[in-house]
Amino acid sequence: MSVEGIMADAAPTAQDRPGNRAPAVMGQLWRTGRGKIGLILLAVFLIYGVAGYLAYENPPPAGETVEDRFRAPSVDYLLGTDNLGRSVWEQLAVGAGISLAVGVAATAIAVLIGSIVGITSGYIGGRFDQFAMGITDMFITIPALPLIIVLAAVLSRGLPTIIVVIGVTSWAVPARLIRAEVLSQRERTFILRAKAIGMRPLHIMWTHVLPNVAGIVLANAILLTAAAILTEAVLAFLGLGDPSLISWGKMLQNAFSSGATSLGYWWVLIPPGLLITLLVLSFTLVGNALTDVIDPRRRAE
Amino acid sequence: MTSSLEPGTGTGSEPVDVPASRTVRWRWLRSYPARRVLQGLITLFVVATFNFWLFRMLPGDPARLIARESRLSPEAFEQLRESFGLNEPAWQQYLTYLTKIVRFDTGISFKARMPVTDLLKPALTNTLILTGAALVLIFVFGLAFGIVAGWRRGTRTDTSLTLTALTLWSLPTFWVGLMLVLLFSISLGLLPVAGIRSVAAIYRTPFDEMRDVLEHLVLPAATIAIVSVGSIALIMRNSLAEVADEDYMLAARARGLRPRTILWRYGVRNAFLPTFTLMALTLGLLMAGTIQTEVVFSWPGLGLLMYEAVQDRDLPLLEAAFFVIAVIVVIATTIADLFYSRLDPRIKSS
Repeated sequence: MSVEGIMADAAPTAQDRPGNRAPAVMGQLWRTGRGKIGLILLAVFLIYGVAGYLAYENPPPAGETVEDRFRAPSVDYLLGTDNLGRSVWEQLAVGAGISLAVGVAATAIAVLIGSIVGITSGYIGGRFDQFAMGITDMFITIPALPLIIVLAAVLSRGLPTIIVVIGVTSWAVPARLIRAEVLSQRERTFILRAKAIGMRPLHIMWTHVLPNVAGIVLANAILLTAAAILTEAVLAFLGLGDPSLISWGKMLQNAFSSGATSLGYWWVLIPPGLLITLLVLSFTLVGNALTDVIDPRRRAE
Repeated sequence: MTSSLEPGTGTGSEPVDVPASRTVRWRWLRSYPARRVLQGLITLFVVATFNFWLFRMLPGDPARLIARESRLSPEAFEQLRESFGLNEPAWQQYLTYLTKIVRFDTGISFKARMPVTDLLKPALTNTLILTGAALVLIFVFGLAFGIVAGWRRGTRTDTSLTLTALTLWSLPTFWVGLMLVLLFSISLGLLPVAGIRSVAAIYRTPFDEMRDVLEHLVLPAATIAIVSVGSIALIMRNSLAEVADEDYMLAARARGLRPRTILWRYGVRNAFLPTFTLMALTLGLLMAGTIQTEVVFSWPGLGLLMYEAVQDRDLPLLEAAFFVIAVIVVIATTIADLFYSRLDPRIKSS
């Protein structure tokens, strides 16, 4: 009998297997008002980010004369210029890509570490579980932003550093979620069946446990992305971002440190913050709605 | 004999004067409070260890690195090597470091050339003032909004409040600060732009000083509160919603009590304590908001100190500020957890 044959025998019943619930979940998500608004916003930002990346260079060229500095919005410069005479419009467009890239990449790292810790801890159990969850709780307790600041300050400045630093400090919550889900799945019949026919633990985790936790992990990952985008903006604002690239947080740092606030130059202050808020909100809305759709009992935080 | 050492009562009891067997003597250690406090201490130990090794694993000689960064004189450089005991073996340096941490001796600031502790003390006070004021605002408005939404569950009011809460959570704290400055300080000229006191202010009475500090406090505290108030409102809303399904709520309705009485006596009272403790658990997030706010408003607290330490590459100061923030958060969450476990005994078993 082929491996596939055994697999077919051990295959879970329709009730057991969440199977391909993805289309149904997407439909439900779309029907929630929050989910629809969030998804539309996300699509817009994605297009904006790609278009901005293709259309302009990062950083946009500086102005040629002193008069180019802090130009108010006009026909030539739709949203005016910053302290170095760079177009705010162009900076906003290139900033979208940075926010999206950092958000998604940092989340990927966090979810990867979280999955490894959560699945092994929940599956192996016992003392290993206690130890791993002790470390996880520690990461939940230690205030994240100060830790991120210390790490970012010591390591070399750059986009990869930011991504890694945010990623390695935000895996604890997904790890906890995944572990809880694995614990609840562990004793279910299709897992026990797979064990009984001698499937290797790693294989069981990959083929049976992972698909079952995917939904809740995805919902959490979307919320993590929102948090990662906020953290990137904060780091850039504190001067810990990539010095060679323009991001929305960096734009606000330039505005803040060049005294734009006291001068009342609203065009360098309002647009970047507004876009950060909208992008974060679109992820938050989708993540929040998805959490409710996947598990109506679990209320979104 | 053993009953006095049951979990939950064992924190205060000294094991020394218990003339019982070994297992009983150490039983209090297994109680939830003891385990929870130990967990907090381990967390702080790990943070301290992280700080130590981070500092020493920097590429090159840390003293040389610092000397290059802050352009020290040769004498100061030698003094620096001395003060870090860089000629001793690593494990000995580590032990020295840990004993110093316990005594809150966190080294010398590279920039200010004075003990870090002297810089931390006033900063800690200022941070606590700011965080305290923000907490009061979050508490009052968060609970009020949460009660309204929880009571009108499923209505338009509830939905719009949830959306507002999510939007507020999505705001970058530092940007909220910038916007408040732009509106209230620059455009309207109502409140001071930055700092904790007016420059060169002379106060005739302590009342004058308090008023000045309060004026400087309004915008920073509001900044932190605006971003956090939504999450607290949601927590209160959800905990009120949970309570609403309890039997005693149904019983209260069956007895024909007025809705107002049911809400306050039965609903809010029972939903309030879990909310309160959960609030303490979000303190880590609150500290993140405080750091950003202090930078925007030049509020001379731990966050501003961290920011300046980053600019000056002042690593001892940076790590010490991080450690103090970790201590605050660990103490607060430990107290909250213990408090919560008293309210909900199910926590202890998990």
